[in-house]
Amino acid sequence: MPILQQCLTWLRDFDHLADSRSTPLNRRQPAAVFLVAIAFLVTLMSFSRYQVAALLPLAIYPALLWGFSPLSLARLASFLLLVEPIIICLGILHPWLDTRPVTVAGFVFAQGWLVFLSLLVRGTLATSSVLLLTTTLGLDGLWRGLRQLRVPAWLVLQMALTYRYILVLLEETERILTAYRLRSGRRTGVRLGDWGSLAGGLFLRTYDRAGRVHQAMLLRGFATHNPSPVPPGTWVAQDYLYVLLWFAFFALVRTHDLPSWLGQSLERIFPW
Amino acid sequence: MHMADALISPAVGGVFWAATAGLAAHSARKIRDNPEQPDIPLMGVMGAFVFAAQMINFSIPGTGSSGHLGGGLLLAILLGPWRGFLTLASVLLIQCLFFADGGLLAWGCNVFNLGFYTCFLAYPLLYLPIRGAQPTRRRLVIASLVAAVVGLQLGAFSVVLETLFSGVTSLSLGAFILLMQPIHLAIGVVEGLATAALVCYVWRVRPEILAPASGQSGTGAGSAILSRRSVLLSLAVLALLVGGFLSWFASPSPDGLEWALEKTAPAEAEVTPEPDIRSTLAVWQEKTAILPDYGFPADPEEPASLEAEEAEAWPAVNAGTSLAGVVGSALTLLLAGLVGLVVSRWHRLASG
Repeated sequence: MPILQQCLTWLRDFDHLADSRSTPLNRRQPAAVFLVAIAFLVTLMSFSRYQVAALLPLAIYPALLWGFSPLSLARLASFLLLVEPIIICLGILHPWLDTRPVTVAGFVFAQGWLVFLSLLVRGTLATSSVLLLTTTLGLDGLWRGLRQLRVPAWLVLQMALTYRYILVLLEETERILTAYRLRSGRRTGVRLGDWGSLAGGLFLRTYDRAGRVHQAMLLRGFATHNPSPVPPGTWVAQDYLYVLLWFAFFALVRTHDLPSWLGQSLERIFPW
Repeated sequence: MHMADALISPAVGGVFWAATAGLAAHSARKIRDNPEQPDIPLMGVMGAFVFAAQMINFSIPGTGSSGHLGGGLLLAILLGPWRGFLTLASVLLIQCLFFADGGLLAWGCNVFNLGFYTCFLAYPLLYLPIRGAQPTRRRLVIASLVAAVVGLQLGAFSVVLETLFSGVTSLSLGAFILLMQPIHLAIGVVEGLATAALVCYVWRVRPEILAPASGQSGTGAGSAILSRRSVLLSLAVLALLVGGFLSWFASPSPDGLEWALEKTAPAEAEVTPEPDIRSTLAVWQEKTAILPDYGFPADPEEPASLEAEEAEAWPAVNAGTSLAGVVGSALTLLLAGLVGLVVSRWHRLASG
């Protein structure tokens, strides 16, 4: 499927995904959910590039988010497939560049493989956690969370407008491209000579539309430099508990190699 | 050129988040001086336009490949540098949150790489002087091309530095530069051509929309042109960032004072202190520090970081990862998966 149609399908689906959902996570203040997500990313990225096993307990966080998220595993995997190639391209060079040998479970291989694996694990966990955060919170939760984190109201409003207009303009772009394709025989892509007028035409319509939108907003009492604030929301004990528990877990993972401890404990119980 | 979270460390991500937030606040203050312009709706819709225009790929003659618009320079040309920068920042945040394109922790880096160089350096220092007071089609094409190429080259170089400072890759500076710069030279030419095609079209059809040339009146939103002071301020921010980071690459050898102290007091190094509260705290600090000694925490699984081990004969290096570690890792992943599955099932059952 062309990327434009993929984007359109995803945006249309997204609007329905997180609407009117009531999960324990949706009942938390969005700022609390955001704070934990940022702490997760900071913890994940603070490990050294040679660590793979110690990162794995952090997978519990995106796994839990997925449990509450309406995003299917297949859809999540399709997003990861878009992102992973970039990480693979950069990471795959390491086994040849960093050839010092390491021994893991009796096997000797180049240390660069550790870097490659570590990059893959980080990429997968980070990308999935951000996507799951977005789908779990939904649009309303996302904007509220940003406001609660003191992101300026005008920036949040601008983002909300941009998001809304992306869908409208993508649909318009799809119509323009379909019309162009139908008139250009078997040619794929747009000729550079035509590109300027195609994108330029879209721009001029967009520009005029922005003016009309602004006029309509002013008529409805919108003040450009003082957009109405989002209700701040009140934190309850569960919100504090949610943040504290996750922070404690991240600190534990950061300071202790849990998989090694688990393996050694098992070895003591069931010697192999 | 969107950086993923996997490529940066919290320290680098944090520094660039702070730099981007500072630039955004400064840009917002600049825009406030111009209250008659339809800022938010125009910026919102233009952000969406850049997103949509990036979907219109054009074929590159003779190569069989295609290219698309970048956005940073175009936004600076159409909206002015301040609005352009803020619009790009929100587009990048949307791309990160909804499309997994670029990371959340890496958002500051991405805005800096794609927005700072194009809006605050390439646009005022290259595009505007080349375009001149009396723009012609030829001047517009050359200005767009040069500014896009230079802006993207600086952005690509910034990616190299940020990745290397983050310490997530073993690539050397030279190898990484050779990987990044040539490909972004080609991409820069393509982006420059796309920007030029669009700018020329708008200039021909609705010239009043483009930033007015000096002395002309214009209603376009691009009229906020950077002052010399602002350009200098931008360069100062850049110098501060680069200078701050380059200090991390300082020689691992002791500096003059440290060398002198080592030479004059060798006996002190051999004294083993009694374990006390300070040493206990130091152990904890080492465990929890994100960048201890401007590097990553010493890792038992990191043989390469230990200089002494480099001297050992092959294959004496051992990562210290036993079979127990591998089994533990597999179990941890299994547990994480199970947690997700159980919560998902429970939640679906509970919600009917």
